[in-house]
Amino acid sequence: MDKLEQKDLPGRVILTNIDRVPGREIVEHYGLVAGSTIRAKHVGKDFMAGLKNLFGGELTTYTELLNESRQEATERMVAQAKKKGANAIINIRFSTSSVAQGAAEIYVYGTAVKVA
Amino acid sequence: MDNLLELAITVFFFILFTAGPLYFWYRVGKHYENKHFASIKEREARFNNLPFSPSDTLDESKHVEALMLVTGQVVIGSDPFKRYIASLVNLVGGRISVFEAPLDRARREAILRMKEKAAKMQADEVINFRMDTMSVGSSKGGEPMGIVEVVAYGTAIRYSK
Repeated sequence: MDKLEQKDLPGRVILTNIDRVPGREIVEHYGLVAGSTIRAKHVGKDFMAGLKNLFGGELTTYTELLNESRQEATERMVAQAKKKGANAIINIRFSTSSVAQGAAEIYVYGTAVKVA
Repeated sequence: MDNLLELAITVFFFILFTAGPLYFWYRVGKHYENKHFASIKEREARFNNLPFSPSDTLDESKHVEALMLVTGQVVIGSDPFKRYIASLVNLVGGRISVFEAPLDRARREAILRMKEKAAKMQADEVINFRMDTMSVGSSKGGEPMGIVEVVAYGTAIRYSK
């Protein structure tokens, strides 16, 4: 069993971007938790992406890079929530900005809560 | 006679270095774009029965069995033809229609990836759907690179049967 049954597994943090957890009651608020990463593009990968951009298709290397960064940011947010004793994060939002040429910042934030 | 020769040389070099390559990249870009759109349409038809909405209301009469945050992301670039046209239009301003297709592709692809993840957990619907677009690597000298990143996310809901 993987991530699918998040709700039923103990120790798993429920992640959702709605402002409640359906079927459960929020018993405690822990405030805002957030995670962020800044990643720069790999030189070789950047070169390949430049080549690929000639054909105007999907830049798989960038997609992977941003995917990994987003996962890492989410993991950091979850770790922070767990430290506070939360078992769910609601109202999750993603935000991305390109801070410099070839570098992107991924920021994930939400409200850590305890549901019963 | 001299003028005619000059004109012929100009036309020759214009075709060789400008019109020719542009036409070539136009065909190449078009080819890959059509291929991608065909694949998008095919997959969209498959996920037609999985509704997604930006509102956060769910069916209160049913019991929620599982929920999960699902995301879909994609980075799409533009071919040199599109970038060239865009840089020309940029001089005078106006609608850059060549960049509309890549954005459309990126959005639909991101939504499809999100739906694929939702379908994996047998979700009945995706609520509170949000979408974020970021331009990648556009800070280079102000020239439009036409690379966009789109992330689509929402909460996948599965009701107990």
